[in-house]
Amino acid sequence: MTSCSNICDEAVVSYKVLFSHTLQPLQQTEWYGNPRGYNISYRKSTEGESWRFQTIGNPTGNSFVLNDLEEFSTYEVKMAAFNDVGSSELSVPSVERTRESGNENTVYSKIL
Amino acid sequence: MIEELITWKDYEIQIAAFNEKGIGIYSSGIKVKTREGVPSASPTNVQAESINSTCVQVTWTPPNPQQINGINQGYKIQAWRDSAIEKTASMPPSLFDPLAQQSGVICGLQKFMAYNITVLCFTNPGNGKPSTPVAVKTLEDVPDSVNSIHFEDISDRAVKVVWTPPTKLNGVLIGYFIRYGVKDIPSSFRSMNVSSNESAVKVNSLKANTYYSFEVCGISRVGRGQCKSASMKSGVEPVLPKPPINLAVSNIQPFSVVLQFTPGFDGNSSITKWTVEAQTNRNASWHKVFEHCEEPEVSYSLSSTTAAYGSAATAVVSNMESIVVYDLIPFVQYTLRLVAHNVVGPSAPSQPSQLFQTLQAPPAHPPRNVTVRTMSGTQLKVRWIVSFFK
Repeated sequence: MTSCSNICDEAVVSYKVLFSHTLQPLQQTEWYGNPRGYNISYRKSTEGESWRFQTIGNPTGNSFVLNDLEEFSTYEVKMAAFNDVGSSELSVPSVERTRESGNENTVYSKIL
Repeated sequence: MIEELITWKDYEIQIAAFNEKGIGIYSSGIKVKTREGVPSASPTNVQAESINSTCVQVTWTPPNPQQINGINQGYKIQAWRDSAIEKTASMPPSLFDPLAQQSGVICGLQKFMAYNITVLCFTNPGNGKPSTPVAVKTLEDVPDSVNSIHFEDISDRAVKVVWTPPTKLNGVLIGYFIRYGVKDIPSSFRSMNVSSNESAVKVNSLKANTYYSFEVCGISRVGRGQCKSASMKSGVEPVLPKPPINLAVSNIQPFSVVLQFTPGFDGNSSITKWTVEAQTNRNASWHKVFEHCEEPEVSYSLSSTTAAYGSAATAVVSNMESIVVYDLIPFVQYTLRLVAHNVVGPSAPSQPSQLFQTLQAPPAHPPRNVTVRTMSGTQLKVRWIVSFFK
């Protein structure tokens, strides 16, 4: 699971490097209005957990770190973009698990 | 009262008185004749044969003179259909030999129709009984003329000739014969046959703006019936339409706008399609964004292509039209222009509309490639792609 998301991330990084600059003018088109930012919805993938929300008021941002999560727990994350008049559909949920406590740096560097 | 005498007989009557001693002397006689009666017998040996599509020849043997019960005034031939008399023909008895076989003709019958024929003998007081019916059918004939002819879809080079079948077929309809050509130029006429279940034919390769005559006739096994003719004028040769004018936009929405305009000259043919071209703040070159196809309206195409083209064109010019332009992108500045199409091709583009901006809508879709990576025991890093490119 970890390795999969890692591969995906690498792909995303290279994709972004390639295209985000060359296609910048098109960015506006599918905002359908004045860009305002993003909403992140996330929750522990346990039954009965309620969604928590995080608003990012920067339309050009491309990452955000969710803090104060529980260790070694699986989370679902969904995103939507919003502008002056409303919000897009939500993305398909991404799923990831937080680490076990301790040895964080070791594990992290191994992945990178 | 002396009863049970024979009808139409001479009797002599004498009267005598009588008493217990016997009958006295009879008076001198008076002569009387009983009145006529109606014949008590019908003609026999009746035979019927149709001689054409409306007449039937009938032969019969007169009844026994003893049973005519009076002076034979003649015979009545009756044609029956659906147990009602449709036609009666009377004729006097033969002067030469009243006993010999007689014949007569009944006419005015319907063509190719089954009848029952009876013959009766009549005297002054009335008709005798009709003979036993014999069946006969009148002969087949050519069809009556077709009921009506009219023209549809008139253009400069083609027309659809439409007719309704004859009311009376007078036989078995096997098809129609159509003849047409330039009016008053017999050498230009051509003909064709179509089967009996057709009631319209498309005639191509006409010359524009020309009077044509058409004849349609039904054909039975006997032959071609009377033709019905009608004439029409082919349409004006179409040319490219002129672009519409006075474009105006209203009801601006995120994805659509109403475009009002005054159509230009239609090029003598109905406008089949409008294309909307756009220039935006993202694409400075004119590009097609929408197409609007006209519903085929019979009345419209007729009025604009028949001889009355001039009035039709002015009527159209004064008529404001509007179309809803869909498939626009929200929050984009647009200028629109319009191209009219007819059978010949597209018009030049119209003058552009004024600049307008579509309304905002919620973003088209969520950020792409949302990925989550573990940072630590309490942190997850969410990444996404900013660009909303397709």
